[in-house]
Amino acid sequence: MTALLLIALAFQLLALFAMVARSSLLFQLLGLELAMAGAALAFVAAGAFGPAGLEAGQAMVLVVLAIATAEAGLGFALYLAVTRRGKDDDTDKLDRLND
Amino acid sequence: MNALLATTLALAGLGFGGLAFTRSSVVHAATLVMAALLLLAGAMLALSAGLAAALMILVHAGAIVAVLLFIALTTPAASGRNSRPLALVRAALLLSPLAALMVLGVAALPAGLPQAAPPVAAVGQLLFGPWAVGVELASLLLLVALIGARQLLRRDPEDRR
Repeated sequence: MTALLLIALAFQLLALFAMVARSSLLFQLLGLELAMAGAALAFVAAGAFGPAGLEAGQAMVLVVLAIATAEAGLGFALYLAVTRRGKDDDTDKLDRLND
Repeated sequence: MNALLATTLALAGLGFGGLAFTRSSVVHAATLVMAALLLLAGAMLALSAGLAAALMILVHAGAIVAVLLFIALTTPAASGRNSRPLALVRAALLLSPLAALMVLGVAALPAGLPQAAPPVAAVGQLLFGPWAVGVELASLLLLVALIGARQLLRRDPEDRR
């Protein structure tokens, strides 16, 4: 279990790296998806080897995916709203939504 | 054996995920992330979590990243060229204390034994029994995200003309 949890942790760090290193909105959204996938792996590993049971781990994956879907939907809408205004998707330069 | 297979697949997924953020094209990056998610689904399957693996393939790789690919292919501004200067140094400085804390936390966990696959009905009973409030909250979150996305992409009346 420890190895799998360490890999899940590495996924979180990779996602944080993507947020810090890349300023493109789509790359940051991809990083967030990997963070969610890492969380899902951690829940399955903890369910498979821990006392909570694999059914609890799998149920948590369902909840994690609901959160990932909500985040992705809002993120894509934000990206489309930005590109529709003809702006670059550089998050260092974006500070307003209404112009 | 299954744990070893799961660890190997998850490590391969991590490798693909790491490669994704070295690409300059967002389409290449999304394809690599999709491969990483499919490998993670394989790791979950090796851990006897078939339902979670199916959900990862259908929802995460099949819906979310696929929609991201469509968006990247159909919008003109999707350029991945803008990377921040000194990204590696800044990321290492920010993340190393956090990583050390998390590794310590994982190392302190007790080791357990692998379990057999539960029936899907057990997952359903858990979701609609003791976890019902949490599931309703997640569905409320999805509804709010849907309304928020619609509001973000709303066109002004003068744009329609």
